[in-house]
Amino acid sequence: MKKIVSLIAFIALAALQTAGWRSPGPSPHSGVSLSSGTASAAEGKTDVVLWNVFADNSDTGVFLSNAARDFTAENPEIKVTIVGQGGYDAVAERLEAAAASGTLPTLAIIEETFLGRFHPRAADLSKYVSKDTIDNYQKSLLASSRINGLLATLPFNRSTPVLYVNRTLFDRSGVKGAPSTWDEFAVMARKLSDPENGVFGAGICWDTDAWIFESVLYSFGGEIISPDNRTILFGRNDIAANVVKLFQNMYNEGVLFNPYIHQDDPWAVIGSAFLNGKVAMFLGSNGMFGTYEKLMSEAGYELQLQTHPAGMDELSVATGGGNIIMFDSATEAQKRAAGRLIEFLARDRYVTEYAALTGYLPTTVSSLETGVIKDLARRSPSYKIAYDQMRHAHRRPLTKNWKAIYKLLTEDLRRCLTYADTDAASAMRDAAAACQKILDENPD
Amino acid sequence: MNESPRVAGNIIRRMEMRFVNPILKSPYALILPALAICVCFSVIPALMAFRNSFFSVDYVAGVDRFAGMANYRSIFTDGAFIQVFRNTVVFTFFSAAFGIPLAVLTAVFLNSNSPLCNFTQGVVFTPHVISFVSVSTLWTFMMDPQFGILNYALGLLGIRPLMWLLGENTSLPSIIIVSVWKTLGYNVLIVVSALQTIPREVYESAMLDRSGPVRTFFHITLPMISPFFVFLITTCVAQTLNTFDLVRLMTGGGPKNSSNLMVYWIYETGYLHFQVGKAMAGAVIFLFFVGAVSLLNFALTSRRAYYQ
Repeated sequence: MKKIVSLIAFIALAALQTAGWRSPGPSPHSGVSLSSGTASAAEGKTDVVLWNVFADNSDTGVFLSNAARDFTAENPEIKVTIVGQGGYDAVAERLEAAAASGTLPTLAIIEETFLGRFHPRAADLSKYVSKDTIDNYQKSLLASSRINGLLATLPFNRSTPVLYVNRTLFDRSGVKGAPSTWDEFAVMARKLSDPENGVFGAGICWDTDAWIFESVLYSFGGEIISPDNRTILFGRNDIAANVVKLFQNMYNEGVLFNPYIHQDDPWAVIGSAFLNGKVAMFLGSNGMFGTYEKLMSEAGYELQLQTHPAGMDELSVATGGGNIIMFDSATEAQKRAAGRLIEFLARDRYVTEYAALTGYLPTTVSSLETGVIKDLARRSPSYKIAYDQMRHAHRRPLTKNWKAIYKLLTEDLRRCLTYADTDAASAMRDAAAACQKILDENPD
Repeated sequence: MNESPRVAGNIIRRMEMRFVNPILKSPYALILPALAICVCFSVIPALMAFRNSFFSVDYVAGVDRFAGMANYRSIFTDGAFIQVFRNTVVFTFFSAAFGIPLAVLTAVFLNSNSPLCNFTQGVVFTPHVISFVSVSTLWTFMMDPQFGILNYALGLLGIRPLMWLLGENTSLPSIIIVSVWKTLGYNVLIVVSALQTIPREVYESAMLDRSGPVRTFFHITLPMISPFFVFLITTCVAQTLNTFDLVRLMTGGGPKNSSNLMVYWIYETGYLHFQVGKAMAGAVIFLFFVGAVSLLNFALTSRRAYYQ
């Protein structure tokens, strides 16, 4: 009898929990009452919480907290809380958890391709940000902001892969100029290599989300995925395999620094080698330029940025970095306040300050005409390289499955350099088949 | 004289005897707090996982659709799941097969009066108190194919360098090594405690009977500490089956899933690939597997344990 009573009590408890179980999906009441909200509501302020992709003490974290302070001085009825999250993947994972628990922030900075994942929860920014402000953003940077007719994100810390060149090593080897094509890249790498002193002519890191590979692929005319997100394209021709072979051959010749034979984070390994004068050139985000310029100068090297090498007549490159997304779960008042914050951050003063501080692209058209950006471009032509390269931006994959796809792809790319005798063609075919399976199983 | 306080006191006492005391005497009332925590944090999530394993769930897109057996069909036709399941079995088996005998040998040594005992104790227990992040960083450096001390040592012995965490054939053995090293301190602690429960007189009798150290070990020490093995094997197997940190921090399950284990696969499928239903189907299968292993473990080990 006791057992029966216990069983009934247990089932009742479980049923109670199940009945109160929140069904997944947008809810008008979810994601509003964040912890700081109660206090601010009592003060009669509207809360705006922004999840920043970088740590609070990073350049971006400090910039955003200063900008938020200026904004709240102008708008005392709004309270802005900036929360550093520590990386694009970290933001995405926490947003995933927040979506399930109904605690999404008002705004978040997400890697531009994560729009494919989070757009079902996005607010239409054209309702909360003025047309003038939207029209002022560089068109090329808005290419990955619209999805299904919805303006879901606006540019913030945007970047593009550019060639980092150690001019001092180039001059020492008597190499003039910089490579504008991949053929020249390989030829110059051979000239720049100095095995006796442990100097490699070039280095490559595919990046954790295959971003650099993607860009090199576009520069050769290749594609990752069809625009309808249904078909993986990189396994359908030899372009992807040839990109991999280019770097495998350079590594086998001894002219390419290969971070994938080390256990550490490939970016850290290649960055350290470049800063120590052991790598003469590599592709990296222009967003690192501010930091690298300082460190290279301290190490006694001259740093230059050069345009991404091309594999065909017309250059085509990836864009990258973060966009701001506003979540639909916020209240109307929060959305209006968040819209004002976005407009505030799009003012020339803040766009130019951020670009000068970090090296990220000035995101607006009017900011390019300011004295600050013109002076910057005059003083260091490297800044201009990235601005000009934006004309060649290629649309990024905007599928919810991109993360699963790039994880698989990166593993195969990594393997091709860890074991440089791996057959690149079959590796790319296998990767494409596995990625296609992901799309088929879980279509957008 | 006012009688009302005494009357009220009597009523409260009577109510206590009638209602409160029987509740407090009931074993179910006493375990209620623990039971409530267990139900909230284990049973209900398990039921939710079971329910979600039959649904197509996407919290971001707001999808929650009945999918029948599709998630189960998907994982059984997924080569990755089979591979990860096999990895988990291999990882658990070898972690226990190497970890427990090594713990017993180390504990027997520590239980002796060797002058090296204190030093060995420090060496063995330190990994247990170091965080997984530090352990992973340390071994990642040591296993670096180019600059790692392990390949340097292999080189001195004339052995070709290994790719360790980067190789498809070496990544799983690499994390088994780290797992055995990390859990050794805890296992040794349990075995040392067990050894100290054996009365000295038993060994003295064995000495009088001219029993050698090997015979004493197999016929006295091991049987006397066998009840502790039930606990040790159960906790060791449960711990290794649930390994997440090492995979997350050292290999991310790669290369090509060669070091991926079930718990990380569930997280990866649900959180990184956004296939919550499929991840939950994997979790349900894993739940039954862990339950079966635990029952088997109890059935096999408790029968062979010697209780004084």
